[in-house]
Amino acid sequence: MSYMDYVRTFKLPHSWCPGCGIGTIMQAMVRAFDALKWKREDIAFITGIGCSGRMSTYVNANTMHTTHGRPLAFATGVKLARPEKHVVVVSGDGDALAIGGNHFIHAARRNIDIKLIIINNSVYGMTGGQVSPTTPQMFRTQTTPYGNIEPNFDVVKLAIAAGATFVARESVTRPRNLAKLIERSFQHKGFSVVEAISNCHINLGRRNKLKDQITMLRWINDRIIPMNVAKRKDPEEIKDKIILGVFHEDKERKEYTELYEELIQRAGGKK
Amino acid sequence: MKEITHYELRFSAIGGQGIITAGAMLAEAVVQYKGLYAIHSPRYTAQVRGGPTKVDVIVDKNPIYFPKTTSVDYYLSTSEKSFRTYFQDIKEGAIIVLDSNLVEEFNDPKYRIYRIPLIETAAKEIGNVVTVSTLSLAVTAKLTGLLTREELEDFIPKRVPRGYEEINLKAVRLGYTLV
Amino acid sequence: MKKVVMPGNETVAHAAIAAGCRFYAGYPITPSSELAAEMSKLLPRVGGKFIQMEDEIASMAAAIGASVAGMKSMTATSGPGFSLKQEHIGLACMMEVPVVIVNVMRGGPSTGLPTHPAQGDVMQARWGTHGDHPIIVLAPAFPTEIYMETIRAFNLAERYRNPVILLLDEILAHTYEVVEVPEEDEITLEERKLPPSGLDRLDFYTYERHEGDPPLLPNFFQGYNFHFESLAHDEMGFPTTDPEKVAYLSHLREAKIEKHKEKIWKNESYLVEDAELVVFAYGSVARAAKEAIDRLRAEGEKVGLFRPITLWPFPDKPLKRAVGKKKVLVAEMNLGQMVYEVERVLRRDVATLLKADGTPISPVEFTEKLREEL
Ligand SMILES: Cc1ncc(C[n+]2csc(CCOP(=O)(O)OP(=O)(O)O)c2C)c(N)n1
Ligand code: SF4
Ligand SMILES: [Mg+2]
Repeated sequence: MSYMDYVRTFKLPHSWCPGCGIGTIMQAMVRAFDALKWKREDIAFITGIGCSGRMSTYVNANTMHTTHGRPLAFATGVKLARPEKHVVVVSGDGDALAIGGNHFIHAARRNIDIKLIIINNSVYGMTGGQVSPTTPQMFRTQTTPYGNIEPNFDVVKLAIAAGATFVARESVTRPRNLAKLIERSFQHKGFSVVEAISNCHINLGRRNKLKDQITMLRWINDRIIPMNVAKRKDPEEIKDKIILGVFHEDKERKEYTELYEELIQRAGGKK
Repeated sequence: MKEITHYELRFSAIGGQGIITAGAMLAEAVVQYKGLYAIHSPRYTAQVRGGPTKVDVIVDKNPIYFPKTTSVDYYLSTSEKSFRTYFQDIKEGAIIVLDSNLVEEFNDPKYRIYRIPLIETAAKEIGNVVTVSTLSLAVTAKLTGLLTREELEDFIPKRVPRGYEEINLKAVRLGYTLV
Repeated sequence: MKKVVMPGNETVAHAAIAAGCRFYAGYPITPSSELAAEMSKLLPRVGGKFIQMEDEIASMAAAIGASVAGMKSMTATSGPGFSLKQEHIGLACMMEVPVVIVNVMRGGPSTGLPTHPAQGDVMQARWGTHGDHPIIVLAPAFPTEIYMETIRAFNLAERYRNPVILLLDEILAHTYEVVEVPEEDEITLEERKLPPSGLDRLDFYTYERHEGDPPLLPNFFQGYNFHFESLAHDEMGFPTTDPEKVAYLSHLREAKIEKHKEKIWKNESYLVEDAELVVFAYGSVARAAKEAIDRLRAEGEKVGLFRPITLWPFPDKPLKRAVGKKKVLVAEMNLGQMVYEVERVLRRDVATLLKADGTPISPVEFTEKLREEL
């Protein structure tokens, strides 16, 4: 098998803009499938709506393209029905944190074994570039023509506070690290969150002097800093940086579907 | 027992007094022992304890169409406030049973009125106020002829929580002698 | 058969378990909460799963997710929660996923009258989600019927791969009544038709089918690596905007219900034959109507009742057949919803008895109105 076996090659070429980071993230993800030798038929791959959500067309597995913001809620039903299967969700920053914010914190709270990858391009890509909960302050978007005045969510802190048991962040500019990190998150039993920093030069970049892929990726690259490097720096020096790495890993907390099996035992139910 | 074609009962109380259970038990028992159709609808509100509450029971030989009471044949109440609140659609000639300690004097020649210290009897004579449900049920069974004492003596031990069988059987016996 | 006294909410729960439902996701709301409570008790005992989700949108989603993974699943709600479920009801129609939705109707709009009955959601049940879509809506009126129609809801959902909505109201949900619970061998269950397992192939055009048939879709993890899509899709399930392909599946989705209407319809005609005046009523309202009809019949008045149990697809032919040119009175606990359908089908104006104040229409009100109309 190769990672391409997890791709519906007959659906290519994909519909993302040239240079969009989503394709890179998809490749990192299917590489993780391949590294772990997961069987396609054992994977449920569920996405929301947005450019990120389109990924479910191209991934060769049991796929479902759901509604804007709710893929985690669908995934919860799938996972409860078949706890032994791998359930993976890809969601955009608007999808996971705005319209789907409630589902996000509750899936994390339950610690249900769903692997979530949030593609954070800091904008609503699909609908033409409106402000999202992760758009940097003062950035211009279609709906913040005078600059964004809202502060943004720190996805990592939010996920940890809500109860996710594996929380990490990587950047599309480091595809190999991203693939490794996703692979590690897939091995975690419990609710895992990988925030993948991505670029939308088309709908965010061009409004903010980051007009093409190269310029925008360079901008991302200048802002990121791996956790081990960051640790050696003066906090003041890195306060505007995006730290990459694994922020939280809790192997002790019981996973939701396991607890559910125990509940069934207590209720005297048969399997 | 005279043949029942259609009979409507109401039990009202202060929420938590256990009178609602009497209605539920009555409906279940007539279904089980008499092969009648019965429904009971507890008054449905957000408030559970402390306020006036009621349960309506309809017993019929045939399947019940309209599931609400329209002409009540029997009305039992253990509190003044609930008695007044739910004094509606009471038929002329209806039997009215009032807790003699908790409902004020009420006289009206249109009704057959009984005054019984239900709660006090349950608490003092039987020894546990929770038995007021069974006591009220027994009083009702006797006055309406809906169920015989033997039927209640069979039903009650199976229906009440384990450990409370004896005390509730005592309530059945007492209920039959109180009126 | 055994007789059990229970309220409608519990009846639905017990019937769902008997129908093979093994997944429930919900969010508490009056007057449907006891249904969820009963499911939370019953499901684990049979190895099933109950989950209280963070809201009704999520509940509907989880129920669909579990169904896609092969479980018969259900959700229940009321009023505001039914509004929230609409987007995903449409998604289940679009993806052709079997699921049962119970809506215990309460007074609306908005938070309305949480503890009082109404029938104000009958049009929403048909058209609540956006876009053209097929739907089946059942409205039982009697305790044993609630049990049997719940089972039928699951059977229809599985057979046609479509959401089925079961409408109750606060009265039916909360009144403890005698339910004649059938034995296991007295009920027929329909299981989802699936393509043979174990195929890892993509040349299986699962949405393709004969007109009128439901699609033969695989469950998740069956080996098909199938794609369930909320966008308009082609015969393989992948997004398309090709008008011909869009029209093709949209037509097939409608046709699978449309062609089988005769089998889906269920209604009761009570003393209609020689009636001069026929009441059209459904759900708990029909019970008051029946009582009034009995009273008037005893006085020699020729009145009858046409009671649809399947509300949608609307029973146009049975209604026409039953009432012909007779006078008709439509009674509902809303300000007039199904009456438009009745008038459309009969192509004439009909009399109405409408009430939307949180109280049921009583047999007395019926008798008076019927006398007026006779
Ligand atoms: C209920 C609902 N509201 C709005 C939309 C329109 N919509 C589609 S995608 C999207 C935003 C997508 O942004 P994000 O989740 O960040 O994904 P991206 O396109 O950036 O990958 C919106 C608002 C929708 N499909 N459904
Ligand atoms: S709009 Fe942005 S996010 Fe969407 S495909 Fe284009 S570059 Fe990528
Ligand atoms: Mg985005």
